Amino acid sequence: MERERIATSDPTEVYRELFPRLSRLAFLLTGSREEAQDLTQDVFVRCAGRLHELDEPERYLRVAMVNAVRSAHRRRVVAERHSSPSPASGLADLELIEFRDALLALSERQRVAIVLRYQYGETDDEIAEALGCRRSTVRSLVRRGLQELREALS
Amino acid sequence: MTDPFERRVTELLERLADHAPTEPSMPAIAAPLAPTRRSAGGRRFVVAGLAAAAVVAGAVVWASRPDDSTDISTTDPAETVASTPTTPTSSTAAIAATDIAAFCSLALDLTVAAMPESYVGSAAHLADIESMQRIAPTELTPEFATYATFIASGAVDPADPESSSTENWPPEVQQAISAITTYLSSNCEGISPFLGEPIGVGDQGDAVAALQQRLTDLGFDPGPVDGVFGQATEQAVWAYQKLVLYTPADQVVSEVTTELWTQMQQDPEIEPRRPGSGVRVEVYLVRQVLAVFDSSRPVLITHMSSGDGQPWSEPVEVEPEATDSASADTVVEIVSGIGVTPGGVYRIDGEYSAGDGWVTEVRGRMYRPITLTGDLAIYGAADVPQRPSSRGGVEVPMHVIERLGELVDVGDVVYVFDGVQEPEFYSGGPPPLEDAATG
Repeated sequence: MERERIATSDPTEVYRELFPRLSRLAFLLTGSREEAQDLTQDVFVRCAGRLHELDEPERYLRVAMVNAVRSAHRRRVVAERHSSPSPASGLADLELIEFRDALLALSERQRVAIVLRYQYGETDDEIAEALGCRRSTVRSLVRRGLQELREALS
Repeated sequence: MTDPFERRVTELLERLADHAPTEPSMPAIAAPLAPTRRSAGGRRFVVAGLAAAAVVAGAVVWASRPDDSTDISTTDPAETVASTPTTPTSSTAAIAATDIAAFCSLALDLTVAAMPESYVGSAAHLADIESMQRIAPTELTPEFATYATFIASGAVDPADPESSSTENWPPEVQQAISAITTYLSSNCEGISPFLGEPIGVGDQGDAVAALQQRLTDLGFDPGPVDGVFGQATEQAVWAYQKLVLYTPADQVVSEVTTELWTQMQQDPEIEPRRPGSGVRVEVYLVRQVLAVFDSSRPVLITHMSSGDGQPWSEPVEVEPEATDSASADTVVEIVSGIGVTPGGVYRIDGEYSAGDGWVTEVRGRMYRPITLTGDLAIYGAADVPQRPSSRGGVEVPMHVIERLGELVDVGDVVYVFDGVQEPEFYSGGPPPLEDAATG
């Protein structure tokens, strides 16, 4: 999949090049353009210093993004603040809106597993690493996530 | 991938992701790509034990909320603090004041430093803990020993989020970290003057003054630094949470806990989404925050409330037309509209501050309104609720509109970001200056 090295070492260019790609993941995981922008920005800031040292910078950033999304989510839940309004995504396509809502209705771990598997083609091992869980757990997250999406979209 | 449904999911994900933002240029908080601080040793990020301790303290507090913990009494820092005398204990007094100052200074330095991913459990983390341990007061010796031993044991894999999550650490380590954090917040100025007691509306004293000073330094407007926690301070605390912590607008809290105070010690890089020279106003509708920038420096950041999206109607008395002169009575008309604050790029075209500053219009009572091209206004209101609640205008606290009026001029550009499209999508660039001057 996306395994190429970063072509340049100039941080500003790296940023411009990777921002749209990383923001896609953030958007799929949060459903909100605004939050995707903030989180992408945030992850870059924290990882900027080490990107050029890495073999798989994109995968590294993906894992960092999964962590950022999950900890942002944890902050909200733990502070007992629930039910944020449906995020403004600017979507006009009804099928996509339905899909986004179904995706957001999954548990967070299911969503991460589904997105990493079907958008990035990650293996069970890679997803397990990103989520900090066992491979068998990944398989059940993917299976149940797919099942719920299927029910929601049928 | 044989299942057609799996292929459909892949395709839908692809299409959905196409709607992701592609522009890196609109961050409200644009931390620079280069690290903000450098240690003398040249490490890219100045990071350390306390940064983790701060994070850890948060985690411990969270993990020990009464509803999800079976072990509140031993791990809740607030509880620990409640039983800690606020005056220095004899063991504290035994340490030279300069030692505590050095310890606190290092701790504060580490608290505000940026932490990279995979820091917790790394060699850098251990080195930072050890450098604190060397100058830590003797009463914290066992706690630092526990913390350092645990990290040195290699039990935490920096690459594994589960193992670096403090919630999964042994209770004695969590307790040690909690004790260290409690000590810091009680004894180190700048880390927390709150002694573990949250402060909120109605409180008075040095802690409130420190909070007001910090908010002012960051560009927020809590009103005068007078040590009294009133509405203006409350609204500044809301604005901080919304802009810096990404707290949804209707979920902000008014209480400042040690945890929140510790977060406030970090220096967020707050930059305009539309960099440029001169004074600019940026309105973030999703965040419900308004910010004024002078070049790239935030000079005023405030809580605000925009249009609620609801239809409204208002009876107004109008003078009868000349042709209706048969009737001397005034005519009542119903004016209606929808309370929407549209995204776009505007210019300030007028400021009103005559008389007592109050203007009554169909869309409500406005204090010192600043009008914009395109029939939009920013104005003061006595009550600025947490939710969007106006009939389309941008409401800010009354003390804020007074300062705003001093900061901006006719012709200054106002960007309204609605979280759906960039402001330029609606109106192209800023309207020409002449429009504003004559509007």
